[in-house]
Amino acid sequence: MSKDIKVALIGNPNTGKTSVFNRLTGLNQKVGNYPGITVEKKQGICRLSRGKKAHIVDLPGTYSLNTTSLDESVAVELLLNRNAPDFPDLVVVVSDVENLKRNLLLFTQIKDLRLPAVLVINMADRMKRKGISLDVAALEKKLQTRIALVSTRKNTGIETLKQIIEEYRCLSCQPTIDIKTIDPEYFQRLGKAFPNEDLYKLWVVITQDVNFTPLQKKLPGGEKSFEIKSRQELKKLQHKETIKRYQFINEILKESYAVDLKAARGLRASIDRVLTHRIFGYLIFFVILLTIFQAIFDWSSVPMDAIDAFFASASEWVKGALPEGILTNLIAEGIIAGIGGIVIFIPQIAFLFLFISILEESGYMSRVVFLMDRLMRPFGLSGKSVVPLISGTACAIPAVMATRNIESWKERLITILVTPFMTCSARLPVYLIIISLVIPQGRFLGLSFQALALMMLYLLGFMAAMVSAWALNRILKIPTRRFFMVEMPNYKLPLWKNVFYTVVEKTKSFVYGAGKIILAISIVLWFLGSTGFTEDYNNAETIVSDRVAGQGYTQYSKNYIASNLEAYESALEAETTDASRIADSLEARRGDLEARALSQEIASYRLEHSIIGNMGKFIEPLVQPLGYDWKIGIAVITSFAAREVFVGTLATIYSVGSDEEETIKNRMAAEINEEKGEPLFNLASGVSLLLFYAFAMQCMSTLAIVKRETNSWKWPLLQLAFMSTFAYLTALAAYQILA
Amino acid sequence: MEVWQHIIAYLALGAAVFYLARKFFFPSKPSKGCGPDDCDCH
Amino acid sequence: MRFTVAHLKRGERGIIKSFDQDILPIKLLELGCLPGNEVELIQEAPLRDPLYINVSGSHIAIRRTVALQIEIEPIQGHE
Repeated sequence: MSKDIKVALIGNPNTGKTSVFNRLTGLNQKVGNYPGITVEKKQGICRLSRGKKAHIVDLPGTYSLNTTSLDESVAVELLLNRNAPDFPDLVVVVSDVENLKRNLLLFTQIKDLRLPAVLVINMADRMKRKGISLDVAALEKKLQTRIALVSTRKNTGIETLKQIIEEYRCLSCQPTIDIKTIDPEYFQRLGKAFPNEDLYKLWVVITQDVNFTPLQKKLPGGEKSFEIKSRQELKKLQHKETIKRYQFINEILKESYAVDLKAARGLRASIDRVLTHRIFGYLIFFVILLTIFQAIFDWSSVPMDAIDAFFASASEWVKGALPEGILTNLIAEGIIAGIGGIVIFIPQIAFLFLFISILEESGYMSRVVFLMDRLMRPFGLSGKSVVPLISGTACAIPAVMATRNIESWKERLITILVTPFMTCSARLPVYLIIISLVIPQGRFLGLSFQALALMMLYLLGFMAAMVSAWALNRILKIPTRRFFMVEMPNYKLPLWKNVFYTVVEKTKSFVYGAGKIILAISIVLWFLGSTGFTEDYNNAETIVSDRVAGQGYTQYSKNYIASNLEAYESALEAETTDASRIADSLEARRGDLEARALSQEIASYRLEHSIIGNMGKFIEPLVQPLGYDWKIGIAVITSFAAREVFVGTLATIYSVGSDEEETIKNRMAAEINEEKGEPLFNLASGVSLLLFYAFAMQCMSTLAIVKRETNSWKWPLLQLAFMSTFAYLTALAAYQILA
Repeated sequence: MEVWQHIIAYLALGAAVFYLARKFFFPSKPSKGCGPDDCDCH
Repeated sequence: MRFTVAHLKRGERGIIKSFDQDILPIKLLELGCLPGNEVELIQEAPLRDPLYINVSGSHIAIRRTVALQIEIEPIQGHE
């Protein structure tokens, strides 16, 4: 490890920095057109010649060392801390040939930190098309560095870059400009106060504070008696520094870089004219959105059904193949059901991330931001809120993290707070099963009622998000500078490798992240449902047998026996006409069915008096006004951790002790509301459940991520309280009106 | 065999409870965020 | 009257004269929004906000409030 060369990869957003990383390491991940998409620190190993290796860190994209966001500060912090384990031996600055001038700004800053720096000029394949001519040798001399002219798309220049990395010791550490010249008097005093430190480094540390408050001022040797300038003054100096750097860069580029504008007519302008058009732009965006949702539903329904069926039969197989006992039951009824509940999400999540990453890779997402900014503003949101809101239809967790590039804290906070209203994929299983139970078949204008209901729920989630954003915008009193700026990168064909790895990585992290929780909850639930301490639980068998002997079977069991017998009878009649044989067979069958009904009744009696049953009964008064019984109540409580647990919980509750291999939908359809004697899942209670899940927070992971992103418990708790109350009240109103 | 089934099953329960408790009651997430201050460009 | 980026029509260009240092974010400067550089208005969203500009090669979108702070000298008779 210590022998490896440590390399930090840094560069402006949209320069293809991550593609360079992928080419160097072969360990692929995301390249984004959207500023700030590379949020996490990505690392990889690059093999050099003679068995040498380079350890490469891919830093978040940044325009300069003047950080304005969390992501950028991650990059700068690493370059400042000489004692950090990842402190680089050399910095590779990735630039793109079209925007070389502004990319050099960052390069000169890095060089002034006296770090060995290499310049990568990416997208070299575009030079001809853009009419750019470049004198690499002259530029290398002026900048006192080595330059690698690279095209990640055509895979050229990477070997040169590797060679330069290997020879990093030959690189000069000469700074480019003298920072003292922007305010000689100030820097002289600074030098006196910290005589052992490099002036430019001190300057970067000091100005970190100006742009980005949470970073503590880590001036070496304490504050001492040093007069600190006001923010305004420091900002003026930063302006001065930027102007000075551009003077330097212009001077250098004058001789080595030229653009023939006549040759530089690209497609970009014509595509932009259509995609950002004030009418067609919106139409196209709308059509793209519709297409995406349609595709997600169409394409994922087949694999989802297959996964469902697979886990049902796997559970059956386990029961048959393993010796009887508690562990077998746990695996078949708890664990397999739990894993199935996670795996079923994979198709949807994968498709959604596929589309989002294509939109980002191609550069289209920035156009959406441009189109939507003005429309979002009355709601206290920014154009950049559109990306989290769209991602929120997959999962709120990556969506909340995608708010990081929203500049204004207020707009960012509101986006974070309302994103969980968007219909995430975890709500889908709940919606789908309840819609299929309570919304009648039939069509309206060629669309099925059920599909319409689902669309309504998506719309409802979006409207809830917008309305609460509007309200929050009025309520929250946060003084904020509503600065907004988005770079409009050039259009490019997505690199399919990058898209593919994004999809794989995001899906994997969702499955492992949410999956572990769901699995653990299923295990705990199964135990709670199959354990009990009361007399009722322990003596379930005798109590139920006595009751059946005295009062007969429950209505549910009677129906069950009757309908099965009927089916059996008609099957028999088709086979034989011998009346006495039919009667005998029927009698045998009846005994069989009664035994089954009895064991089911015992199981459900046990469940009712198990730990979970007692918990359910305890909260029943709270959920009864919404039209739920204690079983649904339990499912609502357990799905507090994650919505998708709802269906799994009902599956677990219904299958505890049951021998029947019935689908959970049939089981739910057969449930009777004991008080009213009508099906438990009817239109009123179904709509009430749908509304509850549309609005309730019901996701621990989102709460955790909101806490992390807002750095306080205040916001996630407020969010939880508001969403839960709102959900409860709408569900209550819906049930009371419809019932 | 019966004994082993019990032991493994309860071990699984223990692991599940431990995992959930650690995840929700003692979250050890790095608390690094923009915080209530403006992430604005000044 | 001050003539600013917000006063440009689609396809029109101008040279940046000056801007209010205290209001404009440093990020804009870094992207090349400096006195002496050329700005072109590429596209405007409905209600003329935000504005999609090309400033010395950087293609960016900014809001109208910011655009109003960037004073320019219009370039007449382009192309």
